[in-house]
Amino acid sequence: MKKKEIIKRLYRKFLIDKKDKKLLEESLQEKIKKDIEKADAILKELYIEKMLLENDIMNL
Amino acid sequence: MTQEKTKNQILMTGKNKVYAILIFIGALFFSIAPFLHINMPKQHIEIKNLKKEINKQEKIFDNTILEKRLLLKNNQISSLEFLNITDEITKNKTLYIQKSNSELKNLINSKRVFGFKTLRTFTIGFFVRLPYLLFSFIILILSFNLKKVKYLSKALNFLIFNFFFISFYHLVWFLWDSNDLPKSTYYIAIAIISIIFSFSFINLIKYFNNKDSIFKEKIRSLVSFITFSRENIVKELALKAILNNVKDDKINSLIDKHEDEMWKTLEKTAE
Repeated sequence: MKKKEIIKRLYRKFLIDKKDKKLLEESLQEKIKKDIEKADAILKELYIEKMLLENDIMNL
Repeated sequence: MTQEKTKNQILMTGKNKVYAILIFIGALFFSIAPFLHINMPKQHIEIKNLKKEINKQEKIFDNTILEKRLLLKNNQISSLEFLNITDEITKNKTLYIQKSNSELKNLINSKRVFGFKTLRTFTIGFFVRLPYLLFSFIILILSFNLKKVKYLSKALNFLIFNFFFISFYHLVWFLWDSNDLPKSTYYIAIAIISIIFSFSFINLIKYFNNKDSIFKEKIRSLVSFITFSRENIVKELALKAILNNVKDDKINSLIDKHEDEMWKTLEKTAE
């Protein structure tokens, strides 16, 4: 049975919450991937800021 | 997309309103239908008149014999004459009865409605049974689409109560002899018994139905727990591990394994 069909059946048969339905529809791997990308972007920004600060300190 | 969704919701609401109105009309009709025969004549007017005519003729024959007997008593006719006359009258009476009975039978057959002697008997038989069949159809259709819609469930409750009341009324009326009580008390007692039976039966069924709802609620809470664990525990742990330089492949294979097991379980639940 396909994932979509399983969710559809669970929703119809047991009236599971819309919130749970939505969470099941999303792939966990995809979500992790997105979160890592976000974390990487933040880390990159922090690294740039760190480098800039270090440069400022050196100039002082 | 959102507009389309809203349009569908409006259509669904309109559809439910039509269902609700139809159910109310159906409930009213089905409650009245089993009593439609009350004002109908028990016999067809032509049959009634023919029966009256036959009885009248029989009385005429009997009265003629009585008159002749009186004449014999007063010695106005001889015994032999009396015997001859009464023999003749009895013969004529027998012939008349045979002829009129056959005529009556033919008339009854010609006035039959779908094989029933009168429209009244047909109405009783038909309108008592028809609601059960239609009711089954309504319940079947509703069971496919029924959701917790306020006015729809109210209409359905009204329909169900009417059906139970009518069903029990007819069952009690059929099984209980009317000679046991005065007529008005008899009908009031049937109505009271039917109301009590209907309430008890509906509540009993609701109780069994709720048992099923409790089971569904348990499944819902387990599905909620699964999604909560997946979002707040598995995902967070995986993220922390990846960010702390644990090998990606290892984490991915564990997540895949977790997902596979989860979907297998959910598939079994959904079946």
